Amino acid sequence: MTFEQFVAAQGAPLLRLAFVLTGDRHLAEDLAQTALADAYRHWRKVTAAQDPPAYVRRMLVNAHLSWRRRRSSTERPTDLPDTAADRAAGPGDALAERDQLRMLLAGLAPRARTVLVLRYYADLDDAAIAEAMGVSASAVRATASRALASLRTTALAETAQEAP
Amino acid sequence: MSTPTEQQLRELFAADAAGAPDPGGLAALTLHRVRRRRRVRTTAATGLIAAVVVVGGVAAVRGDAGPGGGPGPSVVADCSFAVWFEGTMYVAEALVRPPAAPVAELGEAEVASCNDTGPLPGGVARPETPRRVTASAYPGYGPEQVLTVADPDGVLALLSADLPREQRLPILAALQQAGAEWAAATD
Repeated sequence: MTFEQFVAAQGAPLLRLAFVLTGDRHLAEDLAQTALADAYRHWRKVTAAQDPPAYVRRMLVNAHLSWRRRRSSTERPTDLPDTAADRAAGPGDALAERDQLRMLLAGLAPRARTVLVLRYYADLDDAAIAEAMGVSASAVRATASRALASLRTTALAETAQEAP
Repeated sequence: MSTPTEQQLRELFAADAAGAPDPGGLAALTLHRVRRRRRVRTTAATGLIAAVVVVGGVAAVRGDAGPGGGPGPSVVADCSFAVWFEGTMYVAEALVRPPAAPVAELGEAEVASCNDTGPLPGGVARPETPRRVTASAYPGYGPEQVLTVADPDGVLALLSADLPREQRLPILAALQQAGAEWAAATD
């Protein structure tokens, strides 16, 4: 398998994962290119891995979390992310709920949000998420549980505030 | 809103993924990035070697030495090329086509030294004895946004590290596009 063949097969899913993780087109492209450039530099290791796509996905997740750590002190999201651009795609109430859910997700810690994306978008089991993030499966379960609880608590609090 | 369910998360992420950027050209852009970083590192390493020679020469004249009389600290060249110009740091983002018409020379910039790995500004430092290069303007952008520095293979475009994110990202994308076009023209 050549690098070009790998990107032809895996580039789109990696870019989609990067977009869901970052919520920003430019950052997603930058993140996917960063992970693939790392993969290119370590191409022998990638092709020798048992599951090359998972190996590169781990590079992408690590790069994402590393970026978030470095940028969190200087950059704060002020608007809805680019992923909120699907407003015209469905009924207003559902889209409003999605926007609210995006805002709730943006309030989570980067690791918590990443766990949810890997679990509910990439459909990875806890062992695979643990492998991608370099943590234990029990840490993944605990993080996911806390993240879901946090989302529900915040949503309930906001609903209570909106009530007349 | 209602309390978020796992199904809602699945639907949200799937909807978001549908709006992801087009992956066309991803391999070419990635390979260009790898080549650009190699060129940039080569340029940075050349500058560092020059700086080390200068500093080493000064140290030798002063009789300085590391512990036990051996050499001083070693240097690892693994940063993006960066310069300081009028108090602002600019980081190399793309090797682009030299402008067809002469552009304004802005003055001398100081080449940053390298302290660790990675493309972010945290990896570079302002040396006490910097190498100096001529900074020029880049058509279409102000000197507070982008500078250029001559390079044997083209022109290095450097983006200000002080720009806010909303200004930086579109300029970065434009520079990377210009770099990809120049790489395609020179390959």
